[in-house]
Amino acid sequence: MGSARHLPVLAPLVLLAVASPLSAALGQADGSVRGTVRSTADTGVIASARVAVAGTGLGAVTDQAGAYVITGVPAGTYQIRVRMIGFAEGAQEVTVTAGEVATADFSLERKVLALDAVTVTAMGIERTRRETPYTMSEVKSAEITATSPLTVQSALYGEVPGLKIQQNTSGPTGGTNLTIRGVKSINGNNRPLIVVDGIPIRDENSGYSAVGWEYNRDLGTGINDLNPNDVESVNVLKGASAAALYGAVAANGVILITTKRGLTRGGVGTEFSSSFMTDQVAFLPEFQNEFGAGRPDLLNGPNDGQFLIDTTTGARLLAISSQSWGPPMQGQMVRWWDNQMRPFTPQPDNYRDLYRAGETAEQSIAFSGVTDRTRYRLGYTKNDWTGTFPGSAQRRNTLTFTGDLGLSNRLKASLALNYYDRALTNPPPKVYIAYAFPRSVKTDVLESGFRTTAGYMTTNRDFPRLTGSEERLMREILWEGMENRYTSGQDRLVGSLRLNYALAEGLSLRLQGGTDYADNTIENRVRTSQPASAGPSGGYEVRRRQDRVQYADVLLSAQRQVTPAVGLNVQVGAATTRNYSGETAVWTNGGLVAENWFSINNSADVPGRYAGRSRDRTDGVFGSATVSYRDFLYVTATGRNDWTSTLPPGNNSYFYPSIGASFVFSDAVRLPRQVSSGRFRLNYGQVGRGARPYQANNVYSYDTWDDGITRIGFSTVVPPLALKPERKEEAEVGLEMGFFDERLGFDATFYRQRNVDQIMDLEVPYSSGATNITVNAGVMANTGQEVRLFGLPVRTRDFEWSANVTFARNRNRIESLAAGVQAIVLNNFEDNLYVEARPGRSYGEIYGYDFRRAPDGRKIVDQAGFYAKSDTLSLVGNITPTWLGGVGSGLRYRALSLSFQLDVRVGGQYAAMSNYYAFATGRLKATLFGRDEAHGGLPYYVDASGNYVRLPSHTSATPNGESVHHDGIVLPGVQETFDTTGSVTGYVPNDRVVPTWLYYNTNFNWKTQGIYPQIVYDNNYIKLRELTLTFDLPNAWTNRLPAKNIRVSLIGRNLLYLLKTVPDVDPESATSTDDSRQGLNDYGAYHPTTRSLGIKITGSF
Amino acid sequence: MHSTNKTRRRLAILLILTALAGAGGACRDDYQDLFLDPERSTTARIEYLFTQAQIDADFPIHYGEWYWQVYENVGRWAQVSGAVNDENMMRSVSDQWQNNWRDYYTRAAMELKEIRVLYDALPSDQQASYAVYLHLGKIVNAFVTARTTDMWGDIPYSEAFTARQTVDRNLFPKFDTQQSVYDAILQDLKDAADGLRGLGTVHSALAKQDLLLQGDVVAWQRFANSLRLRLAMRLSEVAPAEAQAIVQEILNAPGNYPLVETNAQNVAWSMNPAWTYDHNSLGNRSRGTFERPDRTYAPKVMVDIMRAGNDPRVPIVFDPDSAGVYRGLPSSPDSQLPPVNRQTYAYLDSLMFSRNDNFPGYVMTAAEVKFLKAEADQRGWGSGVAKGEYDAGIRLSIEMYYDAYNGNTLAPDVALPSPAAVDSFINGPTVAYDGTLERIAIQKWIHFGIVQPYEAWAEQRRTDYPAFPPDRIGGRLLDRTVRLTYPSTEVTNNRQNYEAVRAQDTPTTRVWWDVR
Repeated sequence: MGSARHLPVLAPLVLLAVASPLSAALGQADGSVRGTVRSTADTGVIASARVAVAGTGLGAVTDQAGAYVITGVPAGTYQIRVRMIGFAEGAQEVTVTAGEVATADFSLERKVLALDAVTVTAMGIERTRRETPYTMSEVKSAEITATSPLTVQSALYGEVPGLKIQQNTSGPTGGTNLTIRGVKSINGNNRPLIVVDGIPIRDENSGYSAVGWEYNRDLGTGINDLNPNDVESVNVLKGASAAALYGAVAANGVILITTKRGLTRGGVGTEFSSSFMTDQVAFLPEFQNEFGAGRPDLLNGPNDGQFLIDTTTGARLLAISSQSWGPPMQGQMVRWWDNQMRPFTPQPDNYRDLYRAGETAEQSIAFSGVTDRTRYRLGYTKNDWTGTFPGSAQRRNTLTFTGDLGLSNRLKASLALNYYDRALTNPPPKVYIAYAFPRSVKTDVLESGFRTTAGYMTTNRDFPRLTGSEERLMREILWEGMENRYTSGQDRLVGSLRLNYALAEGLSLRLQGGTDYADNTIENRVRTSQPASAGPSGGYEVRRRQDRVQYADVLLSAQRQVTPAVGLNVQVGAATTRNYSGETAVWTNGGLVAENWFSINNSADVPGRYAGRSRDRTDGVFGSATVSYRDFLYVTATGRNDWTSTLPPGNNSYFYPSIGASFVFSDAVRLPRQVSSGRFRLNYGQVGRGARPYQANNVYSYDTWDDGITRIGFSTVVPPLALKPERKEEAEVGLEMGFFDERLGFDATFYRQRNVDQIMDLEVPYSSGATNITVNAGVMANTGQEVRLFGLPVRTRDFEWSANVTFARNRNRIESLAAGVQAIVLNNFEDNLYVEARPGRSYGEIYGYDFRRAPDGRKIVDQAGFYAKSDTLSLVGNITPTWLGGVGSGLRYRALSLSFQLDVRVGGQYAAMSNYYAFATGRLKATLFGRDEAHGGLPYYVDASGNYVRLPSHTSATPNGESVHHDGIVLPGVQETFDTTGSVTGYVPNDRVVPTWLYYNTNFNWKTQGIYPQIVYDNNYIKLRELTLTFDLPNAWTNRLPAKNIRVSLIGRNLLYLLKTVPDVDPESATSTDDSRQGLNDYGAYHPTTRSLGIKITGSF
Repeated sequence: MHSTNKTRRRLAILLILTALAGAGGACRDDYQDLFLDPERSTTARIEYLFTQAQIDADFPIHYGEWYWQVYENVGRWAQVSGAVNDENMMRSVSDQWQNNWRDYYTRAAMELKEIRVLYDALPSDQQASYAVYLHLGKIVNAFVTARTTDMWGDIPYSEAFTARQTVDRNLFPKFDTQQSVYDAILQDLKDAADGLRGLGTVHSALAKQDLLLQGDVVAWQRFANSLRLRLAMRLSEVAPAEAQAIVQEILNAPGNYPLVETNAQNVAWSMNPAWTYDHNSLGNRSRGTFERPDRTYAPKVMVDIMRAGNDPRVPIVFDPDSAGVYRGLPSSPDSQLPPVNRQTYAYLDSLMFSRNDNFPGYVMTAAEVKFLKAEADQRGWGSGVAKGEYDAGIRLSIEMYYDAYNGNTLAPDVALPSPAAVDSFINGPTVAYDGTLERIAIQKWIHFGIVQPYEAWAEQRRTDYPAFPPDRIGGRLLDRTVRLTYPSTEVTNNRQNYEAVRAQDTPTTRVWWDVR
């Protein structure tokens, strides 16, 4: 750590060298030119404009008063040129006479180019776009709040090429996967860094666990708390070069969020907005509505061929089955599990009816103002969200204050405080049942019956004929949602203070520091679900988690126009980040003693406890230097060295550089008039990163066997002997051009990125004594193209049409894994379908045991009449898309505007496990064929050996009077023929009949004969994500109101798919934000997504 | 103006100093301190590792393994449980077996190995009292290693377990022959037994930390010798001379090599109800059995043999079908006449197996030792009379089964069959000892049953008793699985060494000792 202490000391020395006068010598002066440069717009003076005497190399820069003097100009006539970014160039001829002062005043016209917009870059350094050697994507406040989204990230869909967004199935309060330019780290973290007002905030992956059948919840993560109403802009730094100054944490790119500041002029302003949205579940499966609960093999008792019969009363009994292979639903009177007689009728909406209409109501108000030395903004937003899952709700209050204070002429302070108060109740849990209930289930019966009259949970102890699946449905959806209460309450403060001190002309010092502190308390109240006589039940758990990010940096900036043509811009700084998270939990064991008293003291057994902490810190020193030439060529180099506690001492320091150039050729050469701007960019950068905290530790875990016997173990993941930082290298080249006064333009970027020395927990032969060892290994490359097209084809006073098209393609290739490693399994579905990383292939390939096929490709049917399954894995898809695109367009006619956003995905596949079991249980419309004669079923009987024997017709007689079944199918395919030694001699068309229900229960079954690739679908779609209709009330209408600038918007979100190739599910939802768990859903851990409609009113006082 | 400049300069200096202090503050917390997880320790103690190794040795077989490995595979292959069979009946649940492979190599055996590492680092004055853990570690290691090699045959052993070493680490160990693995663990068992016999001091924490035998060193000796007897006898067909030498060494010196001779001496993992972790987290046999109604029928071969001899264990081991008949479910799919359900076939007794949380995890029983002795006599290696040992084995088994049944607090106790009834059973025409290995092997197989399914499978493979009728589907003969194929992770991750054993890696290749 010694060198870290000394480096900052060097910083001022570097600056001194830069800032010291390079040359003061001037030649013999024959005459001078002087003048003032002003803006035509407001006649204000223009400082820092570059004035040059053409053909001489002489020049000067205007001072704060807009004045300049150029001395030593030989007598003659010259053209004097003035350039200033943001203004058209000025030129005039003057004649210089020896010993005299000629005057050349200029009035420059404003000329706003996209290139000259000032944006926030890494470390909060403001730059014009033309200076940056990389592509910048910025999304402004108006776009973020247009459709009143619950979270900031959901406003970014389709706006930023190269940013992939996918929301978890747990809904808007759950996690959202954010991936910039593809997956970089095979089994590390690929989530971009989120920076709010200069402070990196806590934000991590979240989602349903990958552990099968585990009931859990997705509580979302840090970025979810941010209030869209307070965001001024979101800048996305995509490449290594753009993010390099942030160091290790920025290896996946950075999402820079700047909150709104106060007004810059004119007293006090008040803005308000109010919105109301409703959510309905959408994109539901296509169910069959003809056959209800049951399965033919369950009629093993007195029955009428459709239902079991209660021999004492003669009543038909509803089958105890979670499957829909039962009798046709024709209104037969049947005794339900609660002993009531009800008609056996189709329930087409029983799945939809489990969910509610959700709603979001939001009220927001902000005051902002300015005095001579201060400006401020104070905002408050109240957001109440009710989810579609029964019982789920969130209440969120956000209080924001930003202030800028001029402490002196040279010293400015900026304060940003964001306080979030959030209470999330019963977020949708991972529920396995959503697909596993028959088409005859009456949701209203479940809703009225899930609670017994005594207030306990209904189980099949109360009603022996209640199926396990309906019991689960009542427990996991209704009881958990309506009776139990799981709350996650959080107080969070994200605050930063920044001091800017202008040391001298062109030399400033910035000091900033801040914190993201979150205190989260989770309480889980599980109600007593059974009478005390059956044993204690219910429970209570309190979990308290604190997360803290502390961040500080110092930045010394120097700017100097070395010559009229050459400028220098240097930054030197140091930063420190310290993360802490701690969690403690206590919970009752063995149920509650006194019913529904939620206290740890009420635990039947000894309460359980947990405590854990994690700390890490990373410090860095960095520098950046930009040399500019005539405001059209910029070369920037950066370097950063990090020290981190996550790497082994002695190996914890690493350095990485970047270099880039930006060439504004439209200012350098004369181009056709139609070309209004043009810029070419080139850059190369590296970013290194450390390990997860404690990943490189070699330690023992202590634990206690039940009655106080200490036991210790160690991880089966062997820590590394030495661990180097992981390193990402990226090169990027880009071209952006504007035409017709920026009415049309494009920005195209090509990048190639390699991630080397990846830190991974590599799987090794278990016989070595470990499951994994942590190593640096593997190279993964991403190559991609990003294009953004924008246009304003029509602009008249009354009518305007704008359009924005984005396209991003990323190709991934795993160049190598560690020596000897054939594949890394990223995701495993029931040991039958795998998402893998294999060398030479691309990330996210899906492998599965597919149909066994004859050499000519026909499916082989086994001796029993079902499809045979291959013994070897084959490639059946890839979870990642080939390309993603977005089309946004806006039409405005006078005060009325219409805008829409389309999202396009092409390529890749989706593994819909929910469909797999929907087939198995006969719920989907696609399972109707073959169920009876009317649906194409074939006749057969079962002989004494249990074989299915096909009959020539439905009315044929059977040899021994066996009953005739009508639900046979013969699977299209071939059967193998064998010789006496068992070798295959040939193939004959399959002619074996099997019951339809048995086919689905076999080839869609758990593991053994289930052929999982059947539910891997091509995943292409075009989605109409947003549609808004906005009306600006003419001020004439609102004269009598205290408010003005009133805008009313009708909003639709997630409206419909214009094209969708994955049936029965929304292909956009994932079970977790893990990169390997995109493009798939888990069995049942799928909640339908929602379609939202609403209204929003904004205005000001 | 002048003073303002001065103020500014002071302010600037202050700012720079603050910044430097901030950066310099980086040195206050040492990166080294933050590098280590505060919730874990860099130090370990042997006795605590020993407890964990016992848990990971999985003596009682836990819930998931009952559910998959036993009821899906070994139970139906050894025909100690009946299952609704199809053409997949011989297919292994390979991903589950992979967990056994993993837990053996990366947990149980590694923890025992770590004990040795810690022991070597102890000050010499402490080594004497800790030596006991080395001996016990060898016994536990022999038990888990035998269980592994009996499933897979040749396994990595001599070069395995080096992942945690910083020198001579070999991540890709070669496969050793089963013969060499047996040689190693048989030698370990002898060394442990001899070492324990001459042991001076025993570490004081052992009684508490030893979950299996509560620090009873003599009981460990009995376990070690009985296990060695079991493993030696397993070599009876393939290496009879070696087997005979070991068997005779043990049987000829009962003072030096005590055995498990009474049910009170049985080695069993107590299902202590106070061990909520055991019951709640790991689960147990009851849950695994309860959740597999289609895999826990009464196996026909066993039911038929037991009923033919009027075995008094029948009513506590099986529940009859709805007609009150003990009708066993045949293994062959072609013989499983529909409807197969609990009204039409008998199944494993629910009060014994699926609703009995107290059922002990039997590891080594007196009855087995008696049958081993009987076999030694039958082979002419022992000095006793085979019939006496054989009869004693059956009596002990009956007693053990009734004890286990009556351990269930949910059901009223049942009375042991009268000695006369037992005598008449033992001397019945289908049971009475007739001088053949078949009688001994069948009674041992019945004794193991679903209680010790892995042993039942190993012994049936070694002796081929009882003979199972062929399994057919649609008249087609199904190959019998006689070993497990290597887990897919080992195949993909240890590819080069796997090449040496690839040819023999089929479910029908017999393991080394299975030559009969």
